[in-house]
Amino acid sequence: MTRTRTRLAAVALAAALVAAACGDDDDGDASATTAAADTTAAPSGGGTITFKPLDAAGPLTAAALNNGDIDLAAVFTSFVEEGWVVLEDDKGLQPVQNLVVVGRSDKVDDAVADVLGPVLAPLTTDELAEMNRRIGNDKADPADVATEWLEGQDLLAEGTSLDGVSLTVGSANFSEQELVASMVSQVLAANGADVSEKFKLGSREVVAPALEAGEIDVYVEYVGAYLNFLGGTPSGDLDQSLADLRAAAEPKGIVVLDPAPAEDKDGLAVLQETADTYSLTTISDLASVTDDLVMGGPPECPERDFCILGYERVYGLSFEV
Amino acid sequence: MSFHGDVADWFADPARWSGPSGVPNRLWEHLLISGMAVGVAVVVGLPVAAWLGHQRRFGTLAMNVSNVGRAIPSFALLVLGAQLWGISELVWGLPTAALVALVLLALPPIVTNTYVGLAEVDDGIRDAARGMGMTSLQALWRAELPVAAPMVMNGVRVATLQVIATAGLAAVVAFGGLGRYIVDGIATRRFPQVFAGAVLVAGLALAAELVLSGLQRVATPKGVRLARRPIRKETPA
Repeated sequence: MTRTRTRLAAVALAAALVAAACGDDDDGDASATTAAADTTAAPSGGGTITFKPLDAAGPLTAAALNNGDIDLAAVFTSFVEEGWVVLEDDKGLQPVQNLVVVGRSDKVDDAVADVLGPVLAPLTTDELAEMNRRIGNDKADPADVATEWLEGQDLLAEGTSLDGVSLTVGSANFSEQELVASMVSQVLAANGADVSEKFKLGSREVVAPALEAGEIDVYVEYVGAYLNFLGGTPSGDLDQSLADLRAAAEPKGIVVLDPAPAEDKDGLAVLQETADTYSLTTISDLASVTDDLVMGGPPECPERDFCILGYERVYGLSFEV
Repeated sequence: MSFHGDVADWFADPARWSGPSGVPNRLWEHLLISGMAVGVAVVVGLPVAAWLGHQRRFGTLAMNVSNVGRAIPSFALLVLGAQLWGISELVWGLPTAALVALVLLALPPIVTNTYVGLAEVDDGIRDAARGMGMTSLQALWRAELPVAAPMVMNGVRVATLQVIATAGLAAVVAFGGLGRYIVDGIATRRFPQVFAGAVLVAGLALAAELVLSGLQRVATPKGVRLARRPIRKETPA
């Protein structure tokens, strides 16, 4: 009986013992750090950035940044919360991603272009982020937020220049797209056009072909991503990228209007207090941080040039993945 | 190249077998979080269920309460936990949200099997133990628990299997483990790696099954094992 009891106790504890034997789970040493071998950038000031795979600028990353579980977060510049500071991409790693209205050249004539020209012209990244927060956090209706912003900019004045014109406005399937598509559609309607809305069509792989096929006539794109989609190579230079984009779009019968100042691109955000502690305003400033930091981002980040690969190559930062 | 060839290449790459993202370390992390979850569930669930089974009371209540962990999908529990605790770590780098989800998954089989195992100990054994002058606790510890051991161990075995198969979810809240291959593979669209990760999880679950079946045998008292044997003719001396 005693032997049995001892055996049983041993078995019951077996699982706990598996866990108990692991005080030395720390495999992190400096040699594991990826050396930015063929970089031209100066080496960093000594601090290593540990990467935590989370989600693509989603709720996990946001919560982790707000809780202080991570110091740095890979984010989209137009989806930042209050109290976050987006570090300036001072070496132009990320291609320009200004919002821009694109349309079919057989539908977007001078009259339509004149009406749509001023719509996104005053839109800044901060204003876009603020409206995205209202839609994401406060569950505001994108169409209502669009109306409010347009009224504030005095862009909803009634006009008759588009009487008799009928246009279909499309959008991709995320809230920012619905917001800006609503702006476009409301301004067109205010000027007398007969507008139908086809929102939330899907990703770029769905929306862009729909424009070429004439299923929609106009929607809002992002300069760099659209140029990339059309086979070009975007850069941090807006004029150059825009010229390339217009050249690539024209043969497809697509006209690209003037871009907004607002951009929705990949970036790095920190909390205000982190920015104050280390005097951070640009990504370059990270190189002089001697403390080890923790960064959260999408799981594919270590293998992407818009993320860790680019920060190593262009900024000479050292990461531990 | 074929998909199977890609998977074979993945395993053949020497870089897979060392470093923090190598298979040995990921296996260890997977075992660590699984062992911790089952360990916590055993420490919390087994004594309570054993005592209730001994009393033959509140069994339905205990089983139904613990079954919440089985009724709610672990992924939902993980997402809920991530809202509460983010990616913060409880101990040894183990994320709280994942541990809670896995402990809740491990509890139902342990509680159910322990309760049923003890509640169904033969009345004769219970009476004999008390008749020999054992206290209630002594009877539980020295007579009823050994008799119920195979059933109790079976619960631990089932719990371990489920936890190992599910622990990959911890990769969603920034933990390592074999789920890292699956989550990262989906993010980078490297499907041979996703498949390799799934194979490793299944292999680990099967290995654990073998080890725990052995433990279950060892934990079964000789008397109980003999009593379960088919009756054979006496061999002449």
